[in-house]
Amino acid sequence: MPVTWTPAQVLDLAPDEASRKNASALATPRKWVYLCCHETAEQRVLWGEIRGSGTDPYRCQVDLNGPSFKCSCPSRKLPCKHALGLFLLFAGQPGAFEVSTPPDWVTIWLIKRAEMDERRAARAEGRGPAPDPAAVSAARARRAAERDRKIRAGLDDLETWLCDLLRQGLASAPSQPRAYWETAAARLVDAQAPGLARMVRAMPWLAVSGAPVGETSSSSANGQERLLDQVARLYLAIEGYRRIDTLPEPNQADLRAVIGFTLKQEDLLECPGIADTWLVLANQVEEDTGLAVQRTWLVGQASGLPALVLSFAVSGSAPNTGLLDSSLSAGGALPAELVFYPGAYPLRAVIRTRQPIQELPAKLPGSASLLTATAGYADALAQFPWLERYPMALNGMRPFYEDGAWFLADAEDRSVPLARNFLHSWTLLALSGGQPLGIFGEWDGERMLPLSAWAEGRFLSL
Amino acid sequence: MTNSETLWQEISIAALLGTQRRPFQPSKTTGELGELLNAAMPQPPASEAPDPVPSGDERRLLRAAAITALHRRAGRLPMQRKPAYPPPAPEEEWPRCSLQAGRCLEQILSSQGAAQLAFLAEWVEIAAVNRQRVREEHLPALLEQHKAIQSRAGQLRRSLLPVLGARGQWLAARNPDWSAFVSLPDECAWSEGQRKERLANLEDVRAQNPDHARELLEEVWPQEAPAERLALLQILSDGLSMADEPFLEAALDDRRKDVRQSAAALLARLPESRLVARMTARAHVMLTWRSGLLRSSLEVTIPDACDASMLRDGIDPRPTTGSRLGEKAGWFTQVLAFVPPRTWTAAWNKRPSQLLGIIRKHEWEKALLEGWKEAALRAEDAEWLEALANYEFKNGEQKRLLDWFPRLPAPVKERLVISLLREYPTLSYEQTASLFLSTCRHSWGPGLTQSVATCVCQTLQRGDLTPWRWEKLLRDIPPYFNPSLLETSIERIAAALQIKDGGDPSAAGLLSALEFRLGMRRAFEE
Repeated sequence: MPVTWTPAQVLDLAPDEASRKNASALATPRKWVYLCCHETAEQRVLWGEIRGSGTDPYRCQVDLNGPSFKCSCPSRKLPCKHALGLFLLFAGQPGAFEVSTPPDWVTIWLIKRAEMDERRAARAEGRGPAPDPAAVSAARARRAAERDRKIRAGLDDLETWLCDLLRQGLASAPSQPRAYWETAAARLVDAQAPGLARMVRAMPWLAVSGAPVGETSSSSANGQERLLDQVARLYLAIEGYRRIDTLPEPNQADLRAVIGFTLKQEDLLECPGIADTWLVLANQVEEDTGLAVQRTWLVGQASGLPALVLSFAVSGSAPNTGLLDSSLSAGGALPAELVFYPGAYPLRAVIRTRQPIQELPAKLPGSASLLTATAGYADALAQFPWLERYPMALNGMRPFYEDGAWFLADAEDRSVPLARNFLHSWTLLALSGGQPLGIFGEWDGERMLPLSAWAEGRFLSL
Repeated sequence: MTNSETLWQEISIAALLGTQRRPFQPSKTTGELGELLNAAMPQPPASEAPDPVPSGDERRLLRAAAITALHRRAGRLPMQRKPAYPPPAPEEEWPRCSLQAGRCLEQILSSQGAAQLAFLAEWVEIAAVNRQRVREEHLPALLEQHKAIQSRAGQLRRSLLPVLGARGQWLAARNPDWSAFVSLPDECAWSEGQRKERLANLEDVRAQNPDHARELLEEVWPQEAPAERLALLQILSDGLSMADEPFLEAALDDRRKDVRQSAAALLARLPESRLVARMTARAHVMLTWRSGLLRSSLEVTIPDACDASMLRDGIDPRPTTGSRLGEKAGWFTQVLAFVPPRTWTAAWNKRPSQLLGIIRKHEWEKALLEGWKEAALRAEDAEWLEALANYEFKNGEQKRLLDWFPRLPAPVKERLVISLLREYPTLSYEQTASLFLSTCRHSWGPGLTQSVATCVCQTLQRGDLTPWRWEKLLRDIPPYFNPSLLETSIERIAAALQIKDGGDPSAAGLLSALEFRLGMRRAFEE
């Protein structure tokens, strides 16, 4: 470790050519609000503040015993151009730095780093306290308790907000500005309940989307109903979480998933899976704030179990096929072992092991009676009351059009409406040719959104 | 209404209005739902508590909503009723086209621009030749193109019908927008249908049995509204024959001028018609050949007035349309336009080019040219048309030629364009050849296809500046390359493109369009 650094040595630390250039531009005292250093036998540290695009200046620090870097700027590069510039300036003109005692934000960082170094060193020598399982689980319990406290506080907050909403009445909800919903959602994110935040963010859309253009006031009432439904779901989560300890294990898992706890896929893959030939019946790719999500619906050929596999990618990086994971394209049968996320009505799953995809069998599973199918939904709802999209496989369905709306009917003349945002009703009719056909889709409790269909021995994604 | 439904209504209204306007207390409900609600209602706040927030009203409403919403959602049943199901579609005669051919169609339907319809027409034509039909999943998108398809003068629509298959026509019958694609074998569409359906029906009948179509039209003719007559009459343009002559002759007495003119225009295409005979007689009076020893000449004598019989035959006494001719010259032109130009070449034993040779600088040059041109177009007389086109071209009347060039028969157009391309082998809108080429919107013969491919290659090989509007030209022409020369054209252009430094996006676009066509043809052979 050199005692003095030359600018050339500092520049070698840059992660890329652009950082090198940018850092050189910042290596001049004019750019900095102030520059300080502190050097003792144990501690050699530099810090300074620099104006960036944010409102507050960035706080930037370099520990020369390392060297290591920290900066409050949003850059993900390490070291960032500010830290590198600060270091470069010190290497070139140490006289520009004022000798001073480190402020708290520098000291705290140094202490944390020292602790970490110690632990690392201890582990390297194999004598340290790190492998102590009691300490680890104690730390984990402490973190869990901290999150639990935050969530409970967040839920109290949410309850107050919901009560406010109901006091004013839902009629005024659709005219609330974006910030009204956004603030409530952001508070839930802070409370580490991102799942509930998502539900709140969906509320303004529900209030509006219930009333598509050109329909009468009865459907704006429909929008209010959907909103009330969502309020009810949120409240159910609040009440449920408050007594989570009294609930059976699977319901606890469901509640945690609804609140927004995540599970590590690696942990899940340790668990035993269900082996079956999984029929890939539908794919959708949805965009959500910069993230593309592929939802793949599978149904076990032997088990009859439905499963949902999600694949993620950064938006725009999806290949031209439109699928993120084209090995899971609809219309194939995948012999695989699936591990389900825990829950009372497990749907989401990960693929543990798989074999090459095969052709779909000639006969696809599906209920021929809408009464049976909706009863299945009721059962699922009883297990998992937050269920939003229930996978429904149907056989022997006849699509028809009446008074400006599309429906599916079974052989008993029971019928359900198709989703308003379903764009391929005419395709469905074309495939049927007036004969019954098979359909797989998502049931939201009220309407069916077909995702694929099969007729005359052919399977088609819609 | 079930008990839970009433309760839900109550809760919805309370939530909508807000508890600050109306406090909420769920009404007594029976059954399991009632028990559950009772158990779940929070106790009223202790009296000493200082008005707690959230207060009891909202909490009660929240709990009642959470429970009842779920209860209701789980209990919803599908409706029971007997709707009017569509009847089953009839059996298919042709098999589905291949998956690959279907993908080609999908690509055509999702593309835009002028070439789209040309590609679609080609797809339909190949499908019809191979006796394959559109895949069900592509029917709605195809039928949605109904406006564009019908704008193509009925040919595309008619060749599309068998390709749609039984399923396509069945589907079209379900949607009023697509009614033009329903071919009804019986005549109820004709006697009872809407305007669009009637026209389409008469067109279909005309294509299969021209005489029957005319008989149908004759039956209803007196009752038809004048506006309908014109559209109906024009359907007779396909499959026109002398059998239609008496009906058309009678239509010359119609009350409406445009109907009369339309009938006259149809009769003009029948050299044996009485109208043409009358016009020929008039023309012989007006135009005489004087043979001289050194120079022969044409003598024009025009009557002083337009008589009643001329008026009846559709001569406009005060012609305004287009030409800058005098009144008398206008009559002369109109009469001449009804006389098959063969009449003159036969009567005077001269070739069209010889006749045209002596009218240059003639006092009546313009009137003669106009009349002969119209007559040659009506008679589709290739020899005359070619002579007339060359005459205009030689005399620097390219702009005037462009006006009527699109109406020339394909072989005449192609011969002229080929000779132009041979003279100036460049494709750019500055070049006359390109102007004429861009009106050739039909499948080119091998000769023209080869000339155009050669020009594209030479332009690329010269490698200098891209000609003006080169990209537009290259975007327009791919549908017209002769199918048998697609492969060699692709090879030649690809080779030329490789030599050009920095490539050429327009030529690359042309290439991929030609490759698409080749792929489309192969997709049907699988």
